[in-house]
Amino acid sequence: MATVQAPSPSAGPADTGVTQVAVVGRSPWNLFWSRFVRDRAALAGAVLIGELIVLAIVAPLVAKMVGHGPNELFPLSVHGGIYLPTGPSSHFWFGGDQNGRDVFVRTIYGARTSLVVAFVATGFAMIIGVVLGTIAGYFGGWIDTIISRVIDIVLSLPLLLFAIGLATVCSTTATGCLGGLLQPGLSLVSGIIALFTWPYIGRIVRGQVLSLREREFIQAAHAMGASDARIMFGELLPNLVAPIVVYTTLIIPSNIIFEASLSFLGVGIPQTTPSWGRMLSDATANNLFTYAWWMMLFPGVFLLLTTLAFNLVGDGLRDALDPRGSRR
Amino acid sequence: MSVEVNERSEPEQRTDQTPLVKLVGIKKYFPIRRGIIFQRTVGNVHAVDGVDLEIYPGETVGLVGETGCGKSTLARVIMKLFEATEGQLFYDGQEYTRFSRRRMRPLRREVQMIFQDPYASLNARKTVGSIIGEPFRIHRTVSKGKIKGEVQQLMELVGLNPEHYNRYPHEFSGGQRQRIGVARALALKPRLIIADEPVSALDVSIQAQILNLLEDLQAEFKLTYLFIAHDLSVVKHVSDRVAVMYLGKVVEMAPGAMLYRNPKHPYTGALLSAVPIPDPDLAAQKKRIILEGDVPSPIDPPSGCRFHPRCPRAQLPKCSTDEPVLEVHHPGQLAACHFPLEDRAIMETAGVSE
Repeated sequence: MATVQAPSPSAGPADTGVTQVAVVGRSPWNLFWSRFVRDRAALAGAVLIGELIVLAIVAPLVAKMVGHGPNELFPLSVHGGIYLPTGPSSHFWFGGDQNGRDVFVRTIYGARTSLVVAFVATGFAMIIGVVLGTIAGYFGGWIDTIISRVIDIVLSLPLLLFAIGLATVCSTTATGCLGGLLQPGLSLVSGIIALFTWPYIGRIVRGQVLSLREREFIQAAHAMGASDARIMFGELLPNLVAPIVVYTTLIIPSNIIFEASLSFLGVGIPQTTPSWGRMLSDATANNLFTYAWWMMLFPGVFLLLTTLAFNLVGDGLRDALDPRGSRR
Repeated sequence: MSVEVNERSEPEQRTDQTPLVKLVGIKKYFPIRRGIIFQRTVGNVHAVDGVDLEIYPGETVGLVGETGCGKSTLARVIMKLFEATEGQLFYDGQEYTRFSRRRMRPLRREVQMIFQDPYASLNARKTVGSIIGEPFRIHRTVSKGKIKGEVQQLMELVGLNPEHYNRYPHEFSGGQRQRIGVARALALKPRLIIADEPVSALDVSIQAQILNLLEDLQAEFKLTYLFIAHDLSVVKHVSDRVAVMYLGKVVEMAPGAMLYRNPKHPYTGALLSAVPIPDPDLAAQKKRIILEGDVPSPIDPPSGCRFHPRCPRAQLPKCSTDEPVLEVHHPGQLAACHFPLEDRAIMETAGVSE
């Protein structure tokens, strides 16, 4: 982990060169940044996420460098008809699994799967949640009642059971379900995860909008003759950036876990796609992990570090964006 | 209060003109609901309860009253931010009480509002330039490329530095923020500005600056103001006519100087006697009319005259059964009282210096 130089408390990188004597108005972004940079844990998390993203992007290069593709089989030792996993070596840094696949390459490719699913699913969840939450909070009345009840219903569904059922049903046909909207594969898993996580964002946004819409600046916008869309997305949305950013960042790790759980249970992601959840599930097959500890350790550690990093960043963002926080 | 504002001359009678805004029997009730799923209305807050008011072009009408008497609600009903429960609203002779939002749009250009709290009325996440330029973008009166120039002109007009175009509201003081609010209200060149306690959140020294700014702008753009305040000395300096509200009703309406010199309604008298006098000798002589009790609940207002439970001149049972209507006491002076104050009574008792 890179050591982080703590910056002087008042000057963020954006206003270097400005002497302290002159009173310079600092934009909300400036203030946020100087607070965020002071939070070392969050900064470490951000660095880790950055490294992970780079790693995921260059995964094919890594595979080429190591010389092993994620699905290439290297039957090194055969015992009674099955491959025995080989331990970590100079050729297989993280060892190999029971099919003779390189755990190192698969772990890095697994980062791709995890991050893509997490970002896509969270992105969709955020868009749906923000739009529906804003509409519910802004219009109120029966629109709010309908959206809020839908949120309640989705949150009360037995999440994992429902997700497994949906994934199974949608995977059986090649065309997917919802009229081809959900295709089997990553998009299916992303869609299912988004379906179950937008209510969290929707609820928070609705609550914020409920209190914001009574403020005088919204009345001022009405008095000027602004349209509903302009008020919702021109006036309210800029005030919602902080909670949206924070909760989105905090939902990403839970979505990574969600994807891993689904993969672990063998639903959603196709067999050939490397994924941390599926690697963990491979390790538990026939209690292999009691012997081949590397099969469980490496994907497990990556999963842990990724979720930890996102949580740290989320907490840091919350502290930095909400000056009333009591942390410091 | 030492506000350096020119004393207003006595306004001439304007009954021959069409009022710019006319309110007829405006009522605004807020229902009180009980129950979670099956909501039923258990009562109403009578925020505004039958107000008639006419505002003529070019004049400033002051609206005074205690907190909670319905002043701000009335302003929002005129702006159609609230839908009137009953009554009619006219703008330039045209009724707009039930106008849809789309039909209100042209009217919104002509009537603008300045809000009380300069901190809450500006969107903290937007730059000053985009706040003041918003009316242009909504009504498309100015082409996109020219908005910045127009906004900077407005900023200059209200005494802000046009270079601060890209700053955020939190970088300004209260008085400067209120100037931003004024600039925003002026952007569409309105005819009427409803100022809802525009200076009550400001320091006394800043109040005078904003009041002077509003007066200068009125002269320059021939604006009409509805000026809401709870501070009588502020209203006195800016208003041609003053309407006094009590519990959702206008109880007295008179040209400013006349009202201060010779109030008719006992409530006005009590309000005037509460105005602090800067001279301690005079203040010692002053007899204050202390009102007993609190303002009654607007959920269940008193019968008859709403002021009778607190009125020093109330005579039962007349005051508790008959509701007084606004009657002309002097030309231009109306009051709703069965037993109005004698002429100049307040002058001696309260020692209001004029």
